[in-house]
Amino acid sequence: MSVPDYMQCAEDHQTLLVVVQPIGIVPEESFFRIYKRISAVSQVNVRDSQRVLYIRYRHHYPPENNEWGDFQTHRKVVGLITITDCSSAKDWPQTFEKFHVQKEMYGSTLYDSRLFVFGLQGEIAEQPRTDVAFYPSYDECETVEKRIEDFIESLFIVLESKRLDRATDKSGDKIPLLCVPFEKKDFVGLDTDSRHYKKRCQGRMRKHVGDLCLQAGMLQDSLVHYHMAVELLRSVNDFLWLGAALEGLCSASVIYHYPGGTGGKVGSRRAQGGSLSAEAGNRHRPGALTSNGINADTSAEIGRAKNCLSPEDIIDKYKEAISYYGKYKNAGVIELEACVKAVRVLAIQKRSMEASEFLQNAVYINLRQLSEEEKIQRYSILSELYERIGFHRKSAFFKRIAAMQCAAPSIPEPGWRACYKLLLETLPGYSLSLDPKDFSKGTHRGWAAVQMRLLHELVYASRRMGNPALCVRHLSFLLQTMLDFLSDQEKKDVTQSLESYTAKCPGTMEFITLPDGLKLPPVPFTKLPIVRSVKLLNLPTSLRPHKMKSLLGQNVATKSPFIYSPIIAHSRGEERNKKIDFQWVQGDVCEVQLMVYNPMPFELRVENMGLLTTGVEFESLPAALSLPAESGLYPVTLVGVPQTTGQITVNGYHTSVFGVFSDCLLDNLPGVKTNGCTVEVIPALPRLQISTSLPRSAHTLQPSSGDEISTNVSVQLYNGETQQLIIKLENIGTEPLEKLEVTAKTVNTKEKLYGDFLSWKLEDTISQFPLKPGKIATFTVNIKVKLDFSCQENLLQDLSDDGISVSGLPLSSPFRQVVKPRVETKPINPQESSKVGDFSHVKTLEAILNFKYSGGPGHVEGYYRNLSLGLHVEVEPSVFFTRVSTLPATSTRQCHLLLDVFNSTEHELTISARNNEDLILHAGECQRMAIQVDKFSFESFPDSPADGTQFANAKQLEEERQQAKGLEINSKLDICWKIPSLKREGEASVEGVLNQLVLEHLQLAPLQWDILVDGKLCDCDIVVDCKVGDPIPLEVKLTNWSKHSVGPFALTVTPYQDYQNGVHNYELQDAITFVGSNTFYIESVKPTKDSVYFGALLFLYTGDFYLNIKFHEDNCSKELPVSWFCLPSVHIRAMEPVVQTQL
Amino acid sequence: MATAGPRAHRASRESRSPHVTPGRGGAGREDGGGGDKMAVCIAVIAKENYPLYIRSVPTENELKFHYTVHTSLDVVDEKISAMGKALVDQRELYLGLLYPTEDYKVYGYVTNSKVKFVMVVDSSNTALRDNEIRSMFRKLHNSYTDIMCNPFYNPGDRIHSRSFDNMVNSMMMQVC
Repeated sequence: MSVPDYMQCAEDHQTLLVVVQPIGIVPEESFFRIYKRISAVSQVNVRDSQRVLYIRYRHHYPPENNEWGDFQTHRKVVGLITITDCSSAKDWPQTFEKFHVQKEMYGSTLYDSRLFVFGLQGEIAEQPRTDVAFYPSYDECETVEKRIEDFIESLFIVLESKRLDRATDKSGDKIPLLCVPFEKKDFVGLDTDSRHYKKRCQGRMRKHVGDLCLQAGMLQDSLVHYHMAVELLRSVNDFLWLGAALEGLCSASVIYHYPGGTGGKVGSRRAQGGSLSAEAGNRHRPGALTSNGINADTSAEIGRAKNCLSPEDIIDKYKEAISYYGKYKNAGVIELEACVKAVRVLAIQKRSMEASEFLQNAVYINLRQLSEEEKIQRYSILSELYERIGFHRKSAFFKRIAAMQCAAPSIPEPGWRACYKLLLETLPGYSLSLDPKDFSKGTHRGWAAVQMRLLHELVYASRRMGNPALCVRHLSFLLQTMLDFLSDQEKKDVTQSLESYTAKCPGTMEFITLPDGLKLPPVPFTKLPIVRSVKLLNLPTSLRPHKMKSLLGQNVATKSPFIYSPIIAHSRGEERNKKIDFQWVQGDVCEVQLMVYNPMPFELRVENMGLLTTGVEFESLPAALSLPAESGLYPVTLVGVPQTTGQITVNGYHTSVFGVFSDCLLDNLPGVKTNGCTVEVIPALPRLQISTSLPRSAHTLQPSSGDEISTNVSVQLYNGETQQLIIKLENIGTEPLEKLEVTAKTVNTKEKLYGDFLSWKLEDTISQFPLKPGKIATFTVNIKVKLDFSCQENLLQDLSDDGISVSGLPLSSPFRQVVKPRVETKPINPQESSKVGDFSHVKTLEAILNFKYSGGPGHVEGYYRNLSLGLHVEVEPSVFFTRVSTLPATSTRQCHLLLDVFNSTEHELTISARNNEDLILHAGECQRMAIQVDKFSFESFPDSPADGTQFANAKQLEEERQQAKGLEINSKLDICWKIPSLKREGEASVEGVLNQLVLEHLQLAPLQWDILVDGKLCDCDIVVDCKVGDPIPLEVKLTNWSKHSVGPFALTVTPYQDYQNGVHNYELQDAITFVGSNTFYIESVKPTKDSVYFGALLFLYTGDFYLNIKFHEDNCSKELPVSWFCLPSVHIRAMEPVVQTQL
Repeated sequence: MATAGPRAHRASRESRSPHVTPGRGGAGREDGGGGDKMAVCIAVIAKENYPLYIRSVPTENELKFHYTVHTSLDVVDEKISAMGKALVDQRELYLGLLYPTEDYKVYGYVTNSKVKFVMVVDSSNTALRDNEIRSMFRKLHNSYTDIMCNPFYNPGDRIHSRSFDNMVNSMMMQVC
């Protein structure tokens, strides 16, 4: 006996073994159809009694096991049913012959046999035979079940007779010694007459009768027999049979205690039998038991219930039996089966610990060298039994070994399919689920090392099965879920094999359904690369849509009746978390930034990475990236174009890594930061591209306002220069450009700027609208830079040693200075050459031109776009007015403005002013130019603060006034410079140069003094002719333009002669006499009033005379500025009266 | 692949018995000859039955011990559930021998918070008595308690502690 039946259970002891076999050529399918019908008849209620017969059918049974039939009768084949296919009558004898041969095989033990012939018709089939049944075909055999029942009944009759025969065999007749095959030789030559031998024979026979009783459905009788057998055998130390008797006792007790059976749902046979045996079991209850009188043993009546073992005793007896079996090497199979049976019983009793001990023991039972198939069977059954007692891990362990055994290298044709199937069954035991979602829920909870091994085995098995898709799926699962536990080398190996598999069969996002219905969910590689944050990006500033203010206002107004409510703002806060406050534009490329990192120790190539979206038709533009080994956070921008408008939600991204396509949904990713995934897509807007006549700038403006400038242009200009900037506006979008607004903003206001920096005319451009896509419009901007031409502190120290003061007090003759210009070439001494650099200091001006434009459907919705052009102007100094001063001109109404002009360029430069000839300045040269200007009466400006306003205001006002004055002066001067070599020209402004003092000098005094000599208005350079001897009337007129009353004043007229050598002769009493007083008194003059005083002079000699009109130093005059009392000097030439001489 | 598989061949069948008495499984075996051999594998298992710590002698196949400890959890679970019915306050933390294999004996210990300690001992080591095993477990438990006291340790995380390593090292057998 070498082939263990791992499916055995205790109740099998009460069954009769019937072998069903085909002879000749029977189609397997047909055979099993009949076999199934036959085996359905597993319980038969025997006629005339309430006993039930249980039948165990086998289609294969090794005859050597049959030889153990005396030891345990349920191992004995008592019935044989053969099925044959016989189509013609002439085959019949041959077939019948085969039947007999088959019978021979189990001949010694058979009670009865049957032959089922299919297909034979005719006279042979007509003859009634008990042992043969004829059926025309496999489909027409309704009476099979009936036949089987009859057959079983015949078996019962034999069984019953045998039982009675053996049971009553109590006489002193010699009882044959029953023995198992390996014992036979042991008893040769033994004294058969010894008491010991006889007892042994009795005990064994008793045990045999017990078996028969059990099979015949007489449970209680069998218990009694077993008890007696145990006693008998124990006394003779017949351990093997004692074990069998004990096991029989256990089996009977189990049948009594657990009518549901212990085999569980191992096979359909059990399940079916179980339900029926429940009621059958009831019948066996002690009270219900009917003694049918054939029972020879009267002791059975006593303590019937006591004969049955208690559940605890069953286990004890099993242990004992197994320990006896263990003494015999040849009884390994018996021992193993006993262990299995005991485990099944314990499983029902829920005594897992003890069951595991039995199983542990069963593991160690060494049978002969097992074939691979038997090993698989053994491990599977161990696994199943462990499963039954709740040891899932142990069960998985054995199942895995069974799986490995299926594909053991010693097997010529490895059963990879079976191996794979078994491996799948081990998954729950290793708490492994093939759904990656279970893993992404939290940290990994399991036995990584063990699980990894299992996954590797699944991969290998599926590959050998020739299912690459499955293999890829398992391998990706391994990589995805076990990434943290893989060593660097393992990561490399796994990815390499993955790549080689995906070359043949790329990984997909589809479910893989296995033949047994198991669905393998897709494995997205959410860890290759790991995404840490997802951020939807706003469009670049130039493309960002803005809502028209007015429309926005309306929207808010319709939403809430309140202008402001903190409550509403608060409740919107949540919504805002999800929604983003910017918009995307239909048709424009929109970006999403992912922060990713590569956990792999090598470069990771991610291909075809794109966005997964819902809501709006979205054309995703996939990207390919390559992440360096174990990179830090790495920004990746995924782009796409929304094709329609509405709400778009970014759900995730898709990748292709190592040939596996993954759709990673953000919801399933742990620890991803996002700023919201839903954004609104607004209708399309035109796109404007700007190109200018100026070169692009490397400077980028970073204005604080947050505007981003798309284009920067730069230009270099000399101070005072004007340049035209031609801007080409091209509509590169798909929508017509309908609206355009331009605004400018000067950014860098450190420098004082005079005049309009940027000026343009929009009308010319607007006339070209609407601008069709692809069309270009031009727009012209004038850039005019006019910075301060003064050089502030740069020259101050240089000027300190200058003898000429800026006071502008009347000097003898201004012409001298003009004629003899101070040549400033001399300051270029080594010391100052370094300072020249300061003059060439380049200043920058920056401005932003904003183009607001709109068009197309977006315009209808009230959106516009803003494009900014940064303008960077480098202003190089052209000329400087290093110093400014005034000299009074000969006329009091005029004045000389003296400007020291410094050429700070490296080129020759000409400078011109109104009514002046050009002045040529060499590079770095400084020259003085004098410009005669009429004095200004700044009447149009507010003269002084009307009353005591704030001081700061007053100061501001003062500045403003000064500025205005400067502007006016400048407009009169009209100073221009020109660099002929560069063909560049520009203006120069004195506005910043003028100081208060100069301004005062340039201003007309509010007290206007007019002196009329001989009725002629006298001014500095006018010479009045008069005759000697004639009284000359002198008229002094004061007009008060100031706001206050002035005076009274006292004036003295002093005549003198200038010898042109610096000597003034005031001793002229004998040359000139005054008619009247030479002193005038002027009463106070009210504002805007005038007063006139008359006097007369009489010249006695010819000559050139000057009149010096002086004020008396008294109090009132001191209050007023000196310049107000600037009276023109009077030049009178007295001549001989010509007429008289002629006369 | 089936390195950790059950060995179906045994030297002496006579010594085998299904009556495995916990704690006395190795009694009567001849000494393997190791002088101060101790544990060959020590594992700490979380309440949810995943390993917090597992360490074995480096000479042996590590995976084998993973399998051994993993399957021993079946017995631990069974023992705990059986114990659940017993008096809770008087519960014995030491679970005794979980199961013997032909080469090793597996002992278990469970804390009140259901953290399990599993120790695999070479079965040739007869010098190791039940009481010694007990005291080793107690030492382990103390060391584990120290780890739990570390405010920087998150309960449920893998144990990375030098002092615990040292502790375990002192219990592991010296490889000769």
